[in-house]
Amino acid sequence: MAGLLRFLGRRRRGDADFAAEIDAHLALETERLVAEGVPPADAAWEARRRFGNVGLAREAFHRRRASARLEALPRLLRHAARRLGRAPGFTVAATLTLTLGIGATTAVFSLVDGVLLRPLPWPRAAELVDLSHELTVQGVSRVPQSDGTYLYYRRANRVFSGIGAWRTVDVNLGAETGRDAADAERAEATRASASLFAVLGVAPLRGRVFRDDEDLPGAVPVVILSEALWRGRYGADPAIVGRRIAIDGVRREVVGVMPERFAFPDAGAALWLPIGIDAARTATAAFDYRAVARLLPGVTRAAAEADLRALLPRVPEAFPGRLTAPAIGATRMRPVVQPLRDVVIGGAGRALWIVLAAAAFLLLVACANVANLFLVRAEARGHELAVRRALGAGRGWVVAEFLAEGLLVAALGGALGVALAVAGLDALRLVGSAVAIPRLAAVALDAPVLAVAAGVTLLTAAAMSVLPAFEAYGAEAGAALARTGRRTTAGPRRHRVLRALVVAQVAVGLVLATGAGLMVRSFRSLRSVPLGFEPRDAYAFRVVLPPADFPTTAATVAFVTRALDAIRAVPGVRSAGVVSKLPLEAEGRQDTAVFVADRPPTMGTMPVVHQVAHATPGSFAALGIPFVAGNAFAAPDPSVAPLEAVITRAVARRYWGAAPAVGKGLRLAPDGPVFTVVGVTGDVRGSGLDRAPDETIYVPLVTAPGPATASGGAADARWAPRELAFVVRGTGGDVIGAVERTIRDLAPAVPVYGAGSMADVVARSTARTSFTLALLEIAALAALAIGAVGLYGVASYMVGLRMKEMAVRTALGARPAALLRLVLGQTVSLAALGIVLGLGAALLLTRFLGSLVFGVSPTDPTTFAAAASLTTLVAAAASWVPARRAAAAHPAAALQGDL
Amino acid sequence: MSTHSRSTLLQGTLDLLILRTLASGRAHGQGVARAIQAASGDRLLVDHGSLYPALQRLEDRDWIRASWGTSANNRRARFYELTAEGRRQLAAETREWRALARAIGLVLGAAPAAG
Repeated sequence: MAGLLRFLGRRRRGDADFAAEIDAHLALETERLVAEGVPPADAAWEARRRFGNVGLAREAFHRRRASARLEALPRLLRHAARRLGRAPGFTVAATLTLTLGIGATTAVFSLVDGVLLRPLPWPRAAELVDLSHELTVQGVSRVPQSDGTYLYYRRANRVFSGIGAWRTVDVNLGAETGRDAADAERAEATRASASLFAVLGVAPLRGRVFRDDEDLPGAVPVVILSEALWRGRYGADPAIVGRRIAIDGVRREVVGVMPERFAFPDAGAALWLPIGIDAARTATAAFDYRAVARLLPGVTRAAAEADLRALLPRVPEAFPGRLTAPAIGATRMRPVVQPLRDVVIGGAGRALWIVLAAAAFLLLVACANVANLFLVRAEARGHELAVRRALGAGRGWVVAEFLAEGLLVAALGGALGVALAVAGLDALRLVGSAVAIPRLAAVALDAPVLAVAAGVTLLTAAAMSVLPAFEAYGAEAGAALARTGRRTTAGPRRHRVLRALVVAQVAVGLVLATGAGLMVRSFRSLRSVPLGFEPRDAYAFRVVLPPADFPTTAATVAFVTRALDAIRAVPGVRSAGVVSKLPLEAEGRQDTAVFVADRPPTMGTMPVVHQVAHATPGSFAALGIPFVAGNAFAAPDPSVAPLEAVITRAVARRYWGAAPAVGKGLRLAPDGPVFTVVGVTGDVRGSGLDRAPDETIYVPLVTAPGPATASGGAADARWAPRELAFVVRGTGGDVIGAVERTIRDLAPAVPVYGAGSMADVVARSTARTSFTLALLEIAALAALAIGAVGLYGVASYMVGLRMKEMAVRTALGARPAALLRLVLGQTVSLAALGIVLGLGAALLLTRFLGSLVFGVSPTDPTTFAAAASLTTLVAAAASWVPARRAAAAHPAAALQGDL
Repeated sequence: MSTHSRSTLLQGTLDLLILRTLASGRAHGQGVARAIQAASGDRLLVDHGSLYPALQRLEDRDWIRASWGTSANNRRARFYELTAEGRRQLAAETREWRALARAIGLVLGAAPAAG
């Protein structure tokens, strides 16, 4: 502290003062010499001689002052800026290279930070867990909660402070019958138990959250709005609480508004409806609900899992139903407690880490390249540095100069890189929904991200400038001075570093190229998977028919029939139909246990769960799903619920093997009616291109009794789903617009949403692969380009140094082809070393691509060979021009003084 | 001029010699150089070029302080004097130097004397 005060308080001693002191010394010494008898004429000269190098003394003084007060920093930077300004080519090349590296790293890091690292937006989010079950039926599968498991866990657990249940539904907002028709809007709604709000621990912005008694079906109709919906659609109406709004044709009272940060289950959530679970009427085998719980302090996930495991066998006692003790045993069903964060992030984590690694590799290549540029520059400045060193310039000073240049270039590159990152993230947000990255809204270039960018920039500056500085200074001054005269070959020592950097660039470039190559092949295998339907010229349009407008099955079927007739009349449309679930989309999925009619279920075995979808006969043609046997059912008739089913080939094979399936019978409940198989279709990829085809059972639009998943319902009731997708096959003009208008004209209060081509649906299902692919490709191309520039630069430089040697060789009769081979041989051998190292690294690293790689081995020899050839080609191309220059060396050059 | 063999000063010992010289009173740079030369019987020649950076170094460490004054022959010069801290430093360095010299002397004494 005292030292600091002294330091600050000390009067600044300037150069002039020091100069005056030296002048005084010289005068005093001269007088003394005269007094000793030296002739006055010689005395002044002798005094100066004895003093030695005045300049050096002053520099030493400067350095002391400088290090004491940091006042040299602006000067260092000013000089560095001037030097860089005199070498615009070098400066631009170095800056742009770093822009690419720092920009990519910053953009991807902000993604990783926002999506993976930042805690979920709810208080003490680390305590939040997702509850689900694992089943082992023909492979392991996951199911969430049924009303029974949720209610029982909630009542009996000793490990959670609360459990909340939820499920997402889409609703028609504001579609009041006959009025506000144009205002109808589709909204993402979440059915939520009252406990969910307590578990997440976020207070409402206005009004209140749900009360426990509102969990029951048939309670007073209420709704909670999101802040965004309240501000947007309702203009931040201060009197919103208590207002009634129409949702799916039902008028509901707004009881509260949740703040923006609540955002459950994601940022798109617009409103929350009561969950509608009745403990007195449960369907314990319908796993329709998700559950979020908060761990009590000090309880681990393992302990929570153990607690639930003890509870599960007691669920059938508490809530008798289809979930029986033997069924639990037979399926080896067991509760799973996962961090909520893992569930939210899902599979996006791996892709992001991979891309971050790619960006870091790119930055590495960029750094190596700029370090190379600095080295070459240091070589060019070798003479100057040697002279300065002979004059006493210290190592620290030279390093500081290089560091200042590095800092300036890195700061420029960093600033441009951040701008590039901003642009990149904006572009990503534009296509955001298509790349399937969760929490994209949380991604921002904020303080922590910028701090990392700044840190990366500083490290980069240090990494690329200090090494050249030591290299440049390390050479013996005398040797450097001598070498700058006539010389024919360059010193070998510092070129070792130059070469090592080139090898590293080639190696890293190859690793990235291999990764990108594997992704290309994966993407291709994914896209060549037989879909089982024809996405070309197929379009889909979703609607939800509100019960208020379509109170009966007859009204629903009448609307569907009229709409299909009208759509078929649209020019260009060849076929049209309706399905309750589209391939590759999760919406409308129903999983139901299926019982084969002629094989009574044996006690203790669990029937296999299949997907059940409602369909009209036209939908198979519209989606391009071929029949391999039999045919579709008849057109829907509201008064008839035909007991017919169309099954996919996988279902037929499972139950009847090679025997014909048409004519056989299936039940969708143990004691339900028998559906006769009338047709068998080809297999359809329903859940994802990288998954096995779904085993699907199609039933007619109108069924009886009740919905296929529910066990209740009167035997004579006719039922048809209200969440439907129109599927249309057609060409020419604006099929999408025309069909959309047709549906709207028939029912203005029913919003049509999710209109688009099936090709888009397929593209969406491979979005994560194509996203990773695109970014890896960009990284690989950029790395190869930078590497090529680096190799070109080093080759040119080395050829430049050896031009005299080349000229001598030419004079001695070497043919141009031989010189070409000589230079190419050198660079290609460097590249070859890089390729060998790169292949080794790729072998170790590609396995981290994990599940992103599909239909190809992570060490696929073809891909590795292709990447290696590409890299070799790039390396050869990069050294071709300098090699040509060497080959063209004129013998006269050998005689000239300088080259 | 002088026919004595002269040693260039080891770096580090210069600081000690400056402190010792200033212990007997304030002096300007040229005076310090001359005093060291004279006290060593002309055996030690101070490189004037390195003297001033050394003085600056000692000043920065607050072992000596400086002020402009007038020399005996009426010239303006920068005069240096020891601070209390400098005095302590001199005592410590002198002790160290003596110990080192004794140690070297012991080593040399153990070996057969040459000349």
